[in-house]
Amino acid sequence: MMWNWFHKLASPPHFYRLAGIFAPWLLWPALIMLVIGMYGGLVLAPPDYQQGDGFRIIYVHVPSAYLSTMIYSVMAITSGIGLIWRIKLAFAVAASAAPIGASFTALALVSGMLWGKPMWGTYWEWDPRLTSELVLLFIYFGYMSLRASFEDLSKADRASGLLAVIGVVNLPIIHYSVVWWSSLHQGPSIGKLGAPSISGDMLWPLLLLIAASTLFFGAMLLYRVRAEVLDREHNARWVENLLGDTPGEE
Amino acid sequence: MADFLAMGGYAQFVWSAFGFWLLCLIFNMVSARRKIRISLERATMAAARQRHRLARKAKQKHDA
Repeated sequence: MMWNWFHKLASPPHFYRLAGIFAPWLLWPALIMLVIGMYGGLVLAPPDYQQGDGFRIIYVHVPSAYLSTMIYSVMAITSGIGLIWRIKLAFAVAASAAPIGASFTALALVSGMLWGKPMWGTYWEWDPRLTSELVLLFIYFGYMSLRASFEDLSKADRASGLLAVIGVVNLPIIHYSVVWWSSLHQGPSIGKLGAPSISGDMLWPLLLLIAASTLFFGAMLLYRVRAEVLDREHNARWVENLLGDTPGEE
Repeated sequence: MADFLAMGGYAQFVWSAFGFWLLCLIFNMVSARRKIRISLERATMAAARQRHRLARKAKQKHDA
């Protein structure tokens, strides 16, 4: 039963149709939540007692840093599924996630630098957390350029899939870098079970923005996978029927 | 309002961070849209070629 459902979902025409239905339902709530979250973060949250208004960079930095590793996990898991069960749609998902992940990793780094300058006195330090996050960005770039270097799509899928799976070792390094090594970067504030070390007024916009960013990623992923599926299946009968019946449909 | 924009002296850092955030969101939406447009054009062209081929084949069959 479960397996049948999974197979049906992995069939390109079915996925193409479902993704087209769901994507706007993720995008619009995401955009509304992003606006509310940013209003909360920039206007409603009180200034920090140590960092003043400078702490507000947290509302850009934490959601983007979270997305950078979460998207990589999605990429690695779907690559693994593609490699083990030879499901092409899984590779299409991994390939579509990469540019989104790379953009948010770059944002996490840039917002971190803009936060580091006033608080630490420097834009950049070769600190374990910063360095491992920079390595993550390079893995994303490596993944995308490796894909682009193959003419044959199935070879590109396998090679880049392998890279994505191997690159997963960097995720625990990023996560625990602030615990394992002495680091300029602070430890976790909201992940601590029970008592987050941040006040409620500051916390809710952050949680809302994290949720909104996740939805935003979901929407961008669905749009991109649709395009990727079309590219891979442009000779298939269902695409021909789809485009033949409704010319110019998006 | 001026106080809000000044961000307690951190204006350049806070507003640059938010600027990059907005840029990142716009980049994602624009690039996804562009990718879909290109893929649709390519697939539409492939479908048209296929229809053309089938029509020619049918015509040849008919003529023969």
